[in-house]
Amino acid sequence: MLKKLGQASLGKLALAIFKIFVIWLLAVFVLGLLMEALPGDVASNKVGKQGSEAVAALRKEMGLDRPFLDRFFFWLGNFFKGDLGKTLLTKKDVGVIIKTPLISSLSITTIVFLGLVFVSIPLSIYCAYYKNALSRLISRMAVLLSSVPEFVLTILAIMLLCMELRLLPVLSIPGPGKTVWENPVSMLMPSLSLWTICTAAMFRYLRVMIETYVNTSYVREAFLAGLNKNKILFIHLLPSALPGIAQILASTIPYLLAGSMVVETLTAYPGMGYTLIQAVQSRETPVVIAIGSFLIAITILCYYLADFLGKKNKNEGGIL
Amino acid sequence: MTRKSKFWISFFAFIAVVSFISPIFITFFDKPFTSQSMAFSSGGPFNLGYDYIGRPILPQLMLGGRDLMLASLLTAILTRFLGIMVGIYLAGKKKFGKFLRFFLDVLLVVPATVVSLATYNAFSGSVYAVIPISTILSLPFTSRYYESNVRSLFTLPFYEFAILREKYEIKVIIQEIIPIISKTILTDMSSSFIGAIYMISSVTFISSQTDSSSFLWPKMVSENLSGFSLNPWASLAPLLAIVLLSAPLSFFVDSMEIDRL
Repeated sequence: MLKKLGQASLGKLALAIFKIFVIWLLAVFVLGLLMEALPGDVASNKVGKQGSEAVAALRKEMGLDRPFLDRFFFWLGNFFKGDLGKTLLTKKDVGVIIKTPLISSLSITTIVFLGLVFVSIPLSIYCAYYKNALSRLISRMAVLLSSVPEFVLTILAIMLLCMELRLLPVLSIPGPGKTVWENPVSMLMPSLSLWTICTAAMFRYLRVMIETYVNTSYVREAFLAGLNKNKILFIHLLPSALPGIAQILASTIPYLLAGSMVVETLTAYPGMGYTLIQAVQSRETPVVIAIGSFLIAITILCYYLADFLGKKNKNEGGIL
Repeated sequence: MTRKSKFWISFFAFIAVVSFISPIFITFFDKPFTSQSMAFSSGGPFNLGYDYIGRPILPQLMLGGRDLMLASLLTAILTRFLGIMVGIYLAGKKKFGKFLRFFLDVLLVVPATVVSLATYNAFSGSVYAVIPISTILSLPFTSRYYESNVRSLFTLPFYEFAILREKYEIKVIIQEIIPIISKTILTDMSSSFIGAIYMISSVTFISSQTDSSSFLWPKMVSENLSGFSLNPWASLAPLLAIVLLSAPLSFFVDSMEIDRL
């Protein structure tokens, strides 16, 4: 019986892994196809003013005259060998170009994630559960902060913290030849901005979730029975709400990676978002696909995790 | 709707109308004197000063909201319309529903901001070019949302009676289902509009492309940020304009969520 259960679980796991791989492959294909479908390319950007013959010659030199499917499967074959290809203009190794920005972005993602777990979530739960002047003030601030686009928040934070109060440097550049961990101050401003943006967005979902649980019959009965408010929170409410909270947290990770583009651009932080924007603007499709494939893989894994936790919660529908 | 919700939606409507009609009043200003030597100077109409190439800020501010608002509104309407149609189709457990759901799951994980930014750049900074891409890439989220809202309604007796009575299912859906979820659609449309403003603003802000025939508030912010210490209003004025457009609607959505709880 146990052996059968084990085999069934292994079978389910294998099926899930296969599904994840197929979705990843198709999503990367769709990303490549969308980039291919857009007018112009790196050749037209570089020599467009010299005429169509110059563009055609450069496209042939870069291999862009080959059919898209041909190029895509060639890239895929190399990808599984660990080779991410070369940039179209400068022929540099894509893996080398994205390695340091990837580490930089993962660093601030980790810092922000820890901030969300240890500060934002407890604060959101406090504000949703305890209705006092402080919680109302924080709630209004969170709604206001979530009402504006990310770049507005980041610019206002830079104006206040960097230009007025001079607490942090305006530019988050670690320095020539240094990584972000060799100059940790460079991570402060982008981390703070991202943390504020994610906290404001997460606050609303958490508030609705906690208030929904407060209105459930078993919690109301616990209040009527005269139990201590703190005890109700930690013993009755939070255990039920934790899977939902974890689900929201899992859904935030893809945003932390992809959505950091604006913050990294404003603070000149040398992360993946900044590199991605440069690649998109210069139409370096190999770099866009390489970073895009990583973002897609992380997004799929996070959504699957969120779905798994949601099924435990049994209240939320699956994302994938 | 509570008084608070009505206040915020009315305030938003006022800002939206002002943004939409203010380009008409540009003609009331004298043709402005533009010179590179006036770059980031103070003064000018309403003391808002001049931008990075010496153009007065006020006329640009009056022009910069309409395209942003129209593009966001079109995106919101299209995404929700398609989302409702696809969501209802999937909730009805029709043929090819599983394949459609799988295809939408693939689109779900494609990074929308990247593709929108690439589209915006490729079409020389035209904000309307972003609409089809963001509509398609938002479809997985919107279709799931409406599918979950509508699915339980299809199993209710009133729907079954209506199907037996009517010849066409689409007529039943329009007459019976849509009115029930109309409040949800209104709140969701507002959230969608806010999301579209954020996305289009972010894309125009970080892009290097400029469409010189149009002015956009996020573009004004990015172009004039370097001269903040000389003329802060060159970037602060469009920044505050974006907040005035998005914040009231966000407060409206928040008050509707609180009402529902």
